[in-house]
Amino acid sequence: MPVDHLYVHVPFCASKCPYCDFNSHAGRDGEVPAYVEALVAEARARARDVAPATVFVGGGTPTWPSAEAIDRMLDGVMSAVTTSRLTEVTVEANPGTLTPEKVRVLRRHGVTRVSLGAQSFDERRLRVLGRAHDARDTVRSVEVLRDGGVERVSLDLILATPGQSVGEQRRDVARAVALGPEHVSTYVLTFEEGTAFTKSLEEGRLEAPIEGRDLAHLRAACEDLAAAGYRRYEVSNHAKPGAECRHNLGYWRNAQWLGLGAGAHSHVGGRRWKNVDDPAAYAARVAAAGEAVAWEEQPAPRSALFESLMMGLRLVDEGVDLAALAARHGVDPRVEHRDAIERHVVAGRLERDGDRLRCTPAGIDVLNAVLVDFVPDEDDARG
Amino acid sequence: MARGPLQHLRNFSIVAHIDHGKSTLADRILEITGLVRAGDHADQMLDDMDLERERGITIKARAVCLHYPKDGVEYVLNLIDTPGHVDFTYEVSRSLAACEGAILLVDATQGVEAQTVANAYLAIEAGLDIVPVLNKVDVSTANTQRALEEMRTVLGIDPATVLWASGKTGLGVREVIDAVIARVRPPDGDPAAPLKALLFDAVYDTYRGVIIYVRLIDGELRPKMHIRLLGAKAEYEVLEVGVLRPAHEPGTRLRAGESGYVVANIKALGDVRIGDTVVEADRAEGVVALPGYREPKPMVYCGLYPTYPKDYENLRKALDTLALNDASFTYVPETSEALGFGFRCGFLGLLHMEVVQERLERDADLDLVQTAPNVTYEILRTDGATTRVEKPSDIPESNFIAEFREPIARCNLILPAEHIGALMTICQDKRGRYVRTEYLSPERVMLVYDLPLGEIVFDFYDMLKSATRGYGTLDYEIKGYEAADLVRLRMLVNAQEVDALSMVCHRDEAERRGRRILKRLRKAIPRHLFSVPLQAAIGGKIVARETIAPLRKDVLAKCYGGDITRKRKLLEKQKKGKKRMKQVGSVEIPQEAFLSVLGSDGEEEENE
Repeated sequence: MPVDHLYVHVPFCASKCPYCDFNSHAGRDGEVPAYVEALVAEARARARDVAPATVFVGGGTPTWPSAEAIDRMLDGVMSAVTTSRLTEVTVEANPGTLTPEKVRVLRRHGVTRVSLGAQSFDERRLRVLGRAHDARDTVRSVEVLRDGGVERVSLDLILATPGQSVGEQRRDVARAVALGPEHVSTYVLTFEEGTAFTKSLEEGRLEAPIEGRDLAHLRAACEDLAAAGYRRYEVSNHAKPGAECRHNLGYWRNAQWLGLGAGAHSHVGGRRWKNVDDPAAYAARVAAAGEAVAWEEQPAPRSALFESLMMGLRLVDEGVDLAALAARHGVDPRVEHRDAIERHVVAGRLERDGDRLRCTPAGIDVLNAVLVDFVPDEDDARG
Repeated sequence: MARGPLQHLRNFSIVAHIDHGKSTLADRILEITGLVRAGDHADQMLDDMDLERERGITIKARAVCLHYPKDGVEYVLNLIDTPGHVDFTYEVSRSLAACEGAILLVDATQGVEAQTVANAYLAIEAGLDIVPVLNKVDVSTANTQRALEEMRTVLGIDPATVLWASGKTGLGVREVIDAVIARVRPPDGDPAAPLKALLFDAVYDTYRGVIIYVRLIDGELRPKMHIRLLGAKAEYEVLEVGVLRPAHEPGTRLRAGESGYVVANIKALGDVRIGDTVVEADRAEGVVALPGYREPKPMVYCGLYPTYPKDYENLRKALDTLALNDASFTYVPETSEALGFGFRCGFLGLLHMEVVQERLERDADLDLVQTAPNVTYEILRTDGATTRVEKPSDIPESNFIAEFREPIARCNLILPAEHIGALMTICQDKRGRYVRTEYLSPERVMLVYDLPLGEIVFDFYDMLKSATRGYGTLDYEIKGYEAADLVRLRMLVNAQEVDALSMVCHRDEAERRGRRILKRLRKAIPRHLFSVPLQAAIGGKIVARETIAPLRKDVLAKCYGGDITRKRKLLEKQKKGKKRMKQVGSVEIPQEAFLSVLGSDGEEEENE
C-alpha cells in the first residue's frame, strides 16, 4: 500500500480555547521560524519518497503565522514531496486569521480546500467557547477564500454548547449553510481530559452533558444539513456530493499516511508512531537527528483489524468491506467476529450486505458500545 | 523442667472490649517478666497475623509461660490470650475454662462496652477470680470516675479493688502482675490421677501439623504417650510437649494445673475441636469428659465466586489452606446460575466472614465476587421434616413450608444515653423484642434486645454505628430459633431471576427492601443498548420494579489519525471492564452490584 496522505501539524494559535485538547500553543510565536525550518527539514528527511494524493495542514491554526512563514513552510514541504498525484490540499484556518495575501500564498502552493473553524454564529456561544473571532469574521473569511479562488470551503460547527438551545443551533446551521460551503463538520461538544472546560465541569461551573440533549442537537444538525443537500458520510461530517474530505477518508479507511511536525502521528507499513509534542523539543530533535519520533508501536493483526473496524464503521454509507479487511489483516472478521456481527445485525445496529458491513442510523449513535464487542481478547491480540 | 509446686503457678487471661489495650498490656507484661526485650518486636506479641494487628483484634488464642520472681519465690504465670470478638464467644469461653483468673481490662477513655460486659460475664460465670484494671489512665481524655462507676453498676466491681494502669507507658503494670499472684488462686489437680486435659486452642503449623494447646486438670502429659480426644474419638502419639516462651520450648512433661502445647502428628485442624477433652488412651476408662464441648456451627453464610472462571481451582486451594488454620470456617462447592462455579462458605459471624474474605484476597491475590450474607434458617416442611437452609435459593416454595424459623440473638447494646431513642426505633424496625434497659451511669446505658440475626447481618451494625456516632457497641449470643413470617425475596434482572441476589426477609419488609435494592442495582448496573427491567418478587408476585434506561448515544464525535491508538486503548479498557462483569442472560452485572444488596446507605434513604 502506498503512502497516500501527508499530514503537517502547525501547533500555533492566537489563543487556547477552553475545550481544546489538541497540541496547540498560544504566545509562542517566537518559535515559529525555527519550527518551520524543522518541518521543512523533517519533510526533506522523511517525505522524499512520498507522492501523496492528499495533504492536510492542521493545527493549531496553520494560518495564524505570518504570510512569509506560511509561504516558507508550504514551499519547503511541497517541494520535498512528489506532487504529481495530488488531488486535494487542505489547510485549516480560523476566522480572523485570513487575509487576501495569505489566501494568495495558499493558492500559490496548490491549496484546494480550507477548513474554517466557525464553531458558531452566535456571539454568546463564541464567547462561552473562548473563540477569538466573531460571526462577521467568519463571513468575511469565506468571502476572502472565495475571492482568492479556493475551490472548497468546509465549516466546523460545535453542537450542544453550554446554554445553546436546539432552535439556536438550527439558526447556526442555517447561517453556515447560507455561506455555501461544500462541506460541514459538526462536533457535539466533548469534555476532554486536562482542558479548562473539564475543570469547570468538575468544579460545577459548567453543566454536565446530558445524553438526550446531545442526541437532540446531533439529530437536528443532521436533519438540517440533509435538507440543505449535505450528505452525512461520517459520524460528524457532511458534504455536498463529491465534496467529501479525501484526506480524512484516508484515516477512516485506515490507510497509510506520514505525519510531519510536533505531535504528528504516522501510519506506515503497519507501524504507528508519534513525534514529540512540544514544538521547541520537536524542532531541537529534528535539527539534531533529522527525526523526532517519541513513541511507536506495531499493532498485532487482530488489533490492526479492530482499528480498521473502529475507523471504517464511522463511515455512514460506506462502512467496511469484510473480505478486503480479511485479505489485508490476515484475520477474517467474518470468522473472528461472526457472533458479534450477527448479534448487532439482528438488533438493528449493523447492516450487512454481502461483505459490506455498515452501521444503521440507530447503530451509529451507539458505535462505541457496538465496537466494544469487536475488541480482540487480550490473549488473542498478540496472536 | 524443674517447676515450683502448684502453689506458685497461676493461669490467667485478659478480657476486654476490642481496642481497650489488651495486647499492649500483654506486651508490657512480657517485657517485665523478661520474656521479650522492649522494642525488639512488633508492637503486640500475641497477635501474629497482620490482619489481626490491623483490626486490633486477636483471632487465635495463644498461651505464653512467664517466670516472675517475687518475695524470693519464682512464680510461673501462664497468660492465655483470648479472641476478642463477638463471633468467637465459644472460643473465649474455652480459653477462660483453662484459667483460674482473669484481668478485666477497661479503657478509661471509653468506659464499659458491650464486649466488656459479655466477656466479664463469661469470666464470672466460669468462676474466675477477677482482677479489674483501668487502662489508659494517663490519657488526657480518660474519665476514670465514670468508668469506675460503670464497672460498679454493671459488673458489681468495688472501685477500691480496681488497679490503675497504662499499658502504653508501663505505669502500674508491675502492680497488676502482683495482683494476679495475690488474687488469683493457684490451680489444683492430681498429678497422679489419669490424664484429663482441656484442649483450648489449636493452630496449624506447616512443618509440624496441628499444634494443640491444653490445660491439664489431672495427670501428666509426656512425649511418646498415646492420647485420645474424647469428642473427636481419635488417638495420637505425643511427639513433643512444652511451653511458649514465646517460641516453642520443649520440655519433658506437662503436669496437672499447667498449660502448654502438644505436638502429636495431627494432620488437619478439622480433626480437633476446641473444648475437647484429652485423656491417656490406656487410662481413659472412667474419665468423664469436661463440660461445655460444642461443635462449631456456622451461623452466617455467603457465596464466594471467582470473578474469572479460570480462578476456580486457585480459590479452592486458597480455601483449603484457610481451613487448615481455621476449623470454624466451612465451605462446600456450589453452582449459581448467575455466577457459575463457586463455594458456599460458613462463618461464625460477620466479622469472621470479613476477616476470611480479606485474607483470601490478600494471601491468594484472588478477585472475588461475594454474595450478600445470609443466616442459617430452619424450615419445618408440611411433611413434618425439619431442614436447615444455608442459602436463599434452597428455600422451598411457600406451599411446602409449615413454619419458617430464624435464629434470634440476645443483643447487649451499650451506648450514650442521648441516643437511646434513636436506637430503640431502629431495634423496633428490625423486629427487635425489648428485654431491658440498664443505666451504667447517667450518660451511658445498656439496652438489651432480642433481634433476628438476619437483621443484624443485613445492616444493623452500620445503623448502630451511625445512630450513635460510632460510640455504640454490640455483643450478641444466639438464643435459638423462632418462627416468623419470612419470605424469599427474588430479584429479577431482565425478567431472569438472579439467584445470587435473592434474599430472605420479613413479609412486611419485602416491598421496602425490594425497592431499595432495585434502586441500588439501577445505579450499579451500567446501561445497556436495550432497556433493562429490574424486579423484586415474592413467588410470582412483583413487589417492586425499576428500569435501567437504554444507552442512546455513545459515539466519539471526533476520530482522526492521531486518535486511533488512544481510542483503541480506551475501548480495550472498556472491554476489560466488561469481561469482569457477570453475564446474566444478555445483561452484564458488575461485581459491586452483588454487594449492593448489602447494608444501609443513609444518604440514599434521605434522598427519597
